[in-house]
Amino acid sequence: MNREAMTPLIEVVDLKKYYPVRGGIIPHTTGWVRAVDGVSFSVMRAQTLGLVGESGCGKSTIGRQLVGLESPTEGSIFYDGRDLAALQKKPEEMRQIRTKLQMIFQDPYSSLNPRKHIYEILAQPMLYHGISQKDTVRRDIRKLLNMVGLPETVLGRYPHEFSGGQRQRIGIAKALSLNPEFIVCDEPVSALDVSIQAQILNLLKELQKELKLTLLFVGHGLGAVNYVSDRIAVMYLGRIVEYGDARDIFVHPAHPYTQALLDAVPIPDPGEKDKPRRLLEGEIGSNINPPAGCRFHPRCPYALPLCRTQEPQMQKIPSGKTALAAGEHYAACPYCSNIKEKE
Amino acid sequence: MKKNRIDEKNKKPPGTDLAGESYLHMVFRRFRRHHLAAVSLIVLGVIVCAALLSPVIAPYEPNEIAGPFAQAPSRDFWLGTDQIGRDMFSRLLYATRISLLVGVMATAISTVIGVLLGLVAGYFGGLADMIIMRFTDMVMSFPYILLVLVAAAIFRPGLWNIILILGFVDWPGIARLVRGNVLGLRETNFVKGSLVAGMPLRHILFSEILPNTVAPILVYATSVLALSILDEAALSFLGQGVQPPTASLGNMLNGAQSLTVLTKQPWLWLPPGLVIVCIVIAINFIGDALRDALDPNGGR
Repeated sequence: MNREAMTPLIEVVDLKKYYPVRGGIIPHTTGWVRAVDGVSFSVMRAQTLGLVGESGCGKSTIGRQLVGLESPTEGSIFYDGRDLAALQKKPEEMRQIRTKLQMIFQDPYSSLNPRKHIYEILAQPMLYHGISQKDTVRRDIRKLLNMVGLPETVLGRYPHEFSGGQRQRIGIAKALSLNPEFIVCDEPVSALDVSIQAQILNLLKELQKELKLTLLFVGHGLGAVNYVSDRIAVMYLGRIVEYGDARDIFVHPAHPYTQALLDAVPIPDPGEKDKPRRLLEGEIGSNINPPAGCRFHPRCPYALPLCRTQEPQMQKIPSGKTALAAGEHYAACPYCSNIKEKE
Repeated sequence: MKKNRIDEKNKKPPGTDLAGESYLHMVFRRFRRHHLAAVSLIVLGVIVCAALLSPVIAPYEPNEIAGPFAQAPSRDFWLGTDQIGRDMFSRLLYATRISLLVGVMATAISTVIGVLLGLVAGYFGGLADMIIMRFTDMVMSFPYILLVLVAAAIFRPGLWNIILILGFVDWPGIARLVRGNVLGLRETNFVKGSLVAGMPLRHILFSEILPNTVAPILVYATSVLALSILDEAALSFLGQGVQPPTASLGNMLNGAQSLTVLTKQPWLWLPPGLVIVCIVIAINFIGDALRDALDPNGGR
């Protein structure tokens, strides 16, 4: 890929999302759930960024903020260099940009209105935004269905008549119908059968290439995320702990958390069953009172006394030794290069 | 791109009407399994038809003094005559018409109010929700019949006033029901998807959310309809409802306040009473069957 031509389409700067915790006899805010706590990254044009982490690490919250379903507590989101928060004041421009940022939902069973047939589901937004006219909308929808691999006969039917995989295809068609540039895929395959997962992932990959889409792929399975992503960001408790080229991270994970995540992926090979694995113990920490210092230290097999007090900063992993390509690879663990050497 | 993976067996020609029918078909099939409701539907149908066609069916004008006072049923007067010689059968037909009109209109008004308030409270939440729901609680906690009586006393009793009064006191139940449903629907992915697609508020409220709560509203509305008809009867019986000479089922019962009528002239109160009972029971059975037929989790 031509690295010079790469420019970021989405830039996220120090994004935070806190939810109030209310309690007490007279309800008042007793604390904050720090779902997302200072996250910065950028998604390059026509590339896919994978966002991985355990449930509750804040990855879906980031996705929802990017498409405007939730507003950030702090920090900013730039789309094509324009601050989305500032655009809120210009409803006309906002309306246009809204259509450029779309979302594919995790649960295909609840993402389609059960009372509408597929034609209505697909046509209404297109007609409202003037993307298609009354006399051309059928043709445009046919094109969309063709792209996601569904026959035209689905149009007169209701969502309950379809299987999960077919519904997810309709969901993808719905997201594509507004000619978006950026799509948040919020765990689009985790509710599907394994055999269907591969189909949907392939479809997403093909479409991404064909339409030059920019994707944020949120998921908790490293395998699926790695398959579709160009870059990966690993999240733990509202922070990004490692960020870099997908291949790099998969082959040479630097952060102990990423290593544990990778080791948790089952290997379908009986010969490998005795291979030592670093499996995590304990639960993901509370994001009301996140652990001091490095948030991962209570579960980290390599934790040092300093980890309890000092919050690690993102630092570049020296290329050559760990990184395959000359691409960027960052991890928020000051000791990870030593860990590598110890082994 | 890949070929279609849709099951070819279930293929249906494209178009909107066919699939829409299949949903109604399913509802109809499930409804028919309730025999009581099917019978009720027929009974109600007959009553409604008779009421609508009363000018054609009725042998006399409802307010015309057509024969002797308080005569027992005979060939000329099928249900006898009342104390001033009007034909009871003709009056019964017209009274049913009025009572059904009151019931339907009052239900329509309260449904519209309840749905709108419920949508706003459920969707926007926060302060709007608090204000609307506390107001709803207030209306609900009032002794119902007293409120209606006071309202009837302030505004002159009359057909349209009764309709408005009943319409304005019956909505809290519907508002609560709709609010509860909207609270759940607001969080669904298809509503979120519509938001992401930048659809306007009216589309989200009336095209995405409302169609998904029509079934419970319909079921609830049947019980409101039955209640409105009963309330009209009660009010008119007390003399605060539809005013004579206009006949309604309630004010026809009014005559049954004296002991002689009750014991000696059953044709004056038995038919209107029976019609009320039939209508209310039929509506309630239909409502029950509708609840089952429209239940999305009811299977088959």
